[in-house]
Amino acid sequence: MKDFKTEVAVIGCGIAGITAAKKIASEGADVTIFSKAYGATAMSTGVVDIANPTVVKLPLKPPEELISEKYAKKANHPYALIIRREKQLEGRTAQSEEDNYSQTISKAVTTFLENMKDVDYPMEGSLNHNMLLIDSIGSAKCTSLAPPSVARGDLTKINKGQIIFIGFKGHSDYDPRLCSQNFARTSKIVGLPDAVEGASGKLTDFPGFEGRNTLLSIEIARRLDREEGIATGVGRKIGDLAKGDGATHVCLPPCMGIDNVERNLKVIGEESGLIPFECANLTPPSILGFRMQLALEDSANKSGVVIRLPYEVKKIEIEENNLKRMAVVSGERSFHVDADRFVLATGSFIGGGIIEEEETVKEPILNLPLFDENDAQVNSVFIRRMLSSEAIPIKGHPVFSVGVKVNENMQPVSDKGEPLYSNMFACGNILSGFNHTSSGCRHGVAITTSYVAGEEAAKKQRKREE
Amino acid sequence: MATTGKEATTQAASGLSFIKEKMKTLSLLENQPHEKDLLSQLGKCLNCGVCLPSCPTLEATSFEVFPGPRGIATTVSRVNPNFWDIRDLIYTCTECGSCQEICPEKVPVPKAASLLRGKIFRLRPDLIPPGHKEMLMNLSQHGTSLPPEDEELRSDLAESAMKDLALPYKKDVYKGSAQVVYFAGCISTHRAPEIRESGKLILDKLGVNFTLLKDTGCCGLPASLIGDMELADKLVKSVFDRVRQVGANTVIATCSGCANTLQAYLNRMGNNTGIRVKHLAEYLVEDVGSQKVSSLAKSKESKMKSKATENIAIHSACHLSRHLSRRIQDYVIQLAEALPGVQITTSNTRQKCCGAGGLLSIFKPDVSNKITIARLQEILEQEKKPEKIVAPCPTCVIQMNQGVSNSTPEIKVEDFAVLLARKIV
Amino acid sequence: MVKLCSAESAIIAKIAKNVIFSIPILIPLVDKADVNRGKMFAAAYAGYSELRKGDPVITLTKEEALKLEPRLNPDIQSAIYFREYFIDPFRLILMNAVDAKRHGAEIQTYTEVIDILRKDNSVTGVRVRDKFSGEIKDIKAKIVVNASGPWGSKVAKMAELEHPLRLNKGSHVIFDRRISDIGIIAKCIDGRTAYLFPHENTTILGTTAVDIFCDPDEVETTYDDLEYLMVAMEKAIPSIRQARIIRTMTGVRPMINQYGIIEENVTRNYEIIDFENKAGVSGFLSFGGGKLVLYRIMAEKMTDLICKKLGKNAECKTGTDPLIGAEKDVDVDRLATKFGIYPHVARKLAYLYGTKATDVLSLAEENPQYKMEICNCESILEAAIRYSIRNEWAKTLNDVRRRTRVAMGPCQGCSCIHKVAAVAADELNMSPEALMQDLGNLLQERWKGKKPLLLGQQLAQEEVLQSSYSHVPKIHQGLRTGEEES
Repeated sequence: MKDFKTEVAVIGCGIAGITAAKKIASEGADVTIFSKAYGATAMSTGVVDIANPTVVKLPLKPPEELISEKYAKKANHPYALIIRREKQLEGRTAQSEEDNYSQTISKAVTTFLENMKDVDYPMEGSLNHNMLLIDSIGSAKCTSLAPPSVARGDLTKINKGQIIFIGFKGHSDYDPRLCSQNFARTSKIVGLPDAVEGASGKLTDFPGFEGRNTLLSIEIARRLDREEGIATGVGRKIGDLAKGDGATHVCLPPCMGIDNVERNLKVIGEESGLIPFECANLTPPSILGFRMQLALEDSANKSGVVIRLPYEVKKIEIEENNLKRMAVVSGERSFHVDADRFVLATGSFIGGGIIEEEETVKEPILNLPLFDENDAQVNSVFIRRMLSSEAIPIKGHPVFSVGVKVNENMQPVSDKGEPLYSNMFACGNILSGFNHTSSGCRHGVAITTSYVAGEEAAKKQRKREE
Repeated sequence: MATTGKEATTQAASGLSFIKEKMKTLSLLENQPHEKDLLSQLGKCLNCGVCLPSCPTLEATSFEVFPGPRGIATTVSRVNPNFWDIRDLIYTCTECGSCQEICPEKVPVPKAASLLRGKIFRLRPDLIPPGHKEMLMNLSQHGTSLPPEDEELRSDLAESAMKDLALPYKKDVYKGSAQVVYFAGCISTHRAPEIRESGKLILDKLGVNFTLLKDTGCCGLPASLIGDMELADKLVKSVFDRVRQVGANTVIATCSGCANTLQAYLNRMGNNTGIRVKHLAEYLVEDVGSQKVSSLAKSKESKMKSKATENIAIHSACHLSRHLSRRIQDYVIQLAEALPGVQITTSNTRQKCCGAGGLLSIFKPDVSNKITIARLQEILEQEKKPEKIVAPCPTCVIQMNQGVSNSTPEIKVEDFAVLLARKIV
Repeated sequence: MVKLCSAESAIIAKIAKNVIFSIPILIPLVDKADVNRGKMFAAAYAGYSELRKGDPVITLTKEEALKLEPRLNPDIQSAIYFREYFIDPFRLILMNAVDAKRHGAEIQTYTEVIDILRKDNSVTGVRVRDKFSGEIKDIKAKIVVNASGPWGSKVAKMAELEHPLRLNKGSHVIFDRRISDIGIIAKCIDGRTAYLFPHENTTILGTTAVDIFCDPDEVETTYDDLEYLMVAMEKAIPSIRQARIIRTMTGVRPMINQYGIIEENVTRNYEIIDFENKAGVSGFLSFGGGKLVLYRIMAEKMTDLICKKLGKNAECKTGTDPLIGAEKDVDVDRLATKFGIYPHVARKLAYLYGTKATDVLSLAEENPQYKMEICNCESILEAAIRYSIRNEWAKTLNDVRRRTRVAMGPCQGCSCIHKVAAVAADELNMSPEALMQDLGNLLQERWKGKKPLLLGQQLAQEEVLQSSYSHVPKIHQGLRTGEEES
């Protein structure tokens, strides 16, 4: 098999990998993405949490404030690293309490939003506002960036209204009756004003799928996209069910299309006379996550970045303390790919960036040292010592904060803080310093750390670290 | 057979057969370790559903007809020790591998479906679909999936096909010894001769010392898709026996199915036969060099009076891109991009199956056809409409041409080898 | 004892035929001592094979054993084959409860006995507390039967009586799917035996024996319990650690109180204590010891005693009359065609409900959406969930789980519990507060089993679950009343 070369190799095609690759491409370097499969992004909620509050209660503090007040206060949180880097670059003195605003984070968010807009998958939101969404069982989900179909359900922006919940018979992922009942409870918990009420939850037949026992989200999404008149039919049914209820908004399952969500919702809105929105996704399968993955891939395409999938990076050979050559397997063929710089965006357990081996944690490609949220090295700590006795602990299980420790330039470092290889960078869920499942900054860390990793990895020359 | 008391403890050889019989009555199957290993890999499924949007069969039907690859992964050996209950799912799966390609755990649904078809074949032949049985008859009788025509008729059809393409026709040459064997496969030999002929012309033009095999035979893929692993083995072994006879160290295939199946055989033999299998695209990039191919094409183009540009969409053949190696499909694109007068319109390289996978066109032709139409529609809905679809596999070409004739889109479908032949010969 | 167990297993196989299944078992014999022990076992067992309508015990050579199970450690001398019955304990218990109800019994779940009422030397009834409403009331009874298993001593104490039991903890590791279609026996580090049994669509590795002194409710599975089993089975099947562990399970044996001997030698026989004889207190009978296969004969003997005391003359028919659902085999194909469901879904229903599968599916005749598939891992329909609530005393999500097998597959509820919750909420008219609490309970209960051995794919699976539920408020243990945290 022929070997080949690329200037920068990004490993992983999730939100972190693609965002990093785009940044690298925009800085003028030649970059290729290698991925063995899909990971957490494709099954994720499809919304970006930049900085959620620990307790979701109105009024919600904006991400900017929360980064400053909470996230950046933790010295090893990726956001804190980004801020420190910025200050170093600007020649500012040691971190002062108040001064935690980050241009870099702001630029990363803006760039991400521009990238998505560029491929016709615009997302709404900013660092100045945290949205309050309803998830598919009626509990509150806070997030910062979301597609308009979801953002329209931002309860902080609905000043007055009555929300009816409509679902489809056979579609087990979303039960509107449960959602509506739980909404009432959620309203109290988060402190929603009385002017925003929840109305009943009703099931209706999905046009064209009458008599079907079990409907998958993908089937609903596709049918709405591809068959004329389905959205009209759905709109009419909603209109009929909402008659006399005084409803102003309708909360729908998060699968109202893949390519034509806005068109579908517009028709549904017109036919029903209500403002439709998609709720947030709870458990996979997630059409929202899938849509985001597709949009990211389109976005990579647009920058001329090729995603090679499935190309699995098995090992990376080292030459004079630099990473040099990847051993890659694709199906029945193996070959080598050389690169000058490498970005690890391989994720956590779902993506396979971190695996379990002999009852402890391991980074499979380079066997990098792994750290927990408290900066303790955990390479031979048993996983059972990193689990809480609570099923869903508020702070998450420690094992899901395990990752590669990086310096401010997103270079993985040893326990002494020295970069392990000068030409390697990491971003996304593979990083330590935050809990990937519960921190309230999932995807936020991805788009910001990959921005920095991308910026650094694009540099052809690096000043020797003293 | 002793039944109680002291005699029971002195059972000898017949004890094993008694147990095996008992296991059969308990609906338990014997599984070899490699089979168990494969089936237990289905247990890696996280139930994340990321595979569902990628499945062509689910797209063309519904959850109640085919629950998707996740359905196979979660139901096999979770409902009953045997598989008879889910046989319909196993035969409806195209074994295309679109699911496994993106699955975070790489759950091997295609290989598992194949294995289970083998089990049904051996243990419950009454459950084999009638269409499969018919094809099996051809395979057993003639050694190919289609009844072969008379040799004279075959070469006449081949000659006329090349004439239609304004390409020369060279009679088959069989050498006693050669480095390279060109294995055209049964489909292109008997149903799409222009592909076989194009392969010959290309290798000839490049000065490759190759030979064909007399009586092409079959790589065995259709037999293995029916579940007759014994016959499949026999067929593929016969191919390699003849390859060894001419002393070749390389087998080139223009059919993705053949390339993958021949490679799989070599893997089973431990990959120490000294023989390599390559798809034509692979051979051209690695052994010849895409530069040479490109310059031959440029040289031909310069001699042409009118230079037209063809807008083509390249279809991703499953056996090539998902089973053998995505790298080789990337080679196809690389070679096509380097051809003058060719404009590639597809940006999506991970299209789903053409619909012919897994013998679905024989088991459920209506579903298979729906899949094909979906593929065609996808391609035609692109911003830059292609005039032609190019696929590196005769089965894809035939399936999609059929789809074209079954619906209305005006688009031609051509094999990759034929495209190359037109450009360089 | 063996004779009794053999006879009973044959009876249970008949009266609960839909939930019982037969597994061939291999005992690999590693050394001479093993071979001798094996001979003794075979001799003892062989005599009863006709009684249990099972297979004869067969000795196999090493080669034959490896042919049957190629993943066996080849370092063996020979092997012994025999066949055993296995059963789904949840469904078995439920079928008995349904049958009892059919004969006029009243069954009250989530009704905790908090005191036994006594008047002088008579037990006159029980005091109970409804666990949902908290309501306390007294129920009069001529006879109180203490069948509370490991809580037997605790309950007897409520009547101011002593019924000491030797409590012993047994843990299991549960693997996804069948690792082998044959059960394998292996030797543990302390000479006990461990077994790897295919159990319906999982594989169970068990079991330990640790004497415990705490309340059975407090029992925990430790890493040592599980590693003990893994180390043992690794000797018989070296590749066992590659299999996907989905969870662990622990129970407590209420053994007869024999002191000074190791657990293995404690009798598995049962005792029925009539406290009129033992302590001069009438109206209180207590069970001790026993094993699952003896449940029916224990009940028969107890009932005989009760009949004698109450002066009733009746014939016991539990050994001949099939339990509800087990009257005859179910035609799975016909069931699938009639209701328009997948054959494998029909087979699952036939396994769980036997002939009652038709009743379950008939719910869908009034409401076709009840044919919706809720749990992908176990192929469970909404109808089964509703049926378990309407007819099988399911009051919480965990109850539904035990009866229908939702959330018992490899994903351990990751994808389906919110769907189950939605159905349960509708059926039980639960308040959202109660439902979310119950969802939290189910997740906690599942976690208890997963935590001791969370490895491989289960870690990735857990990451999915955590990412999905971490934002859901009030699902965390600590937040029962809306406390804030920083």
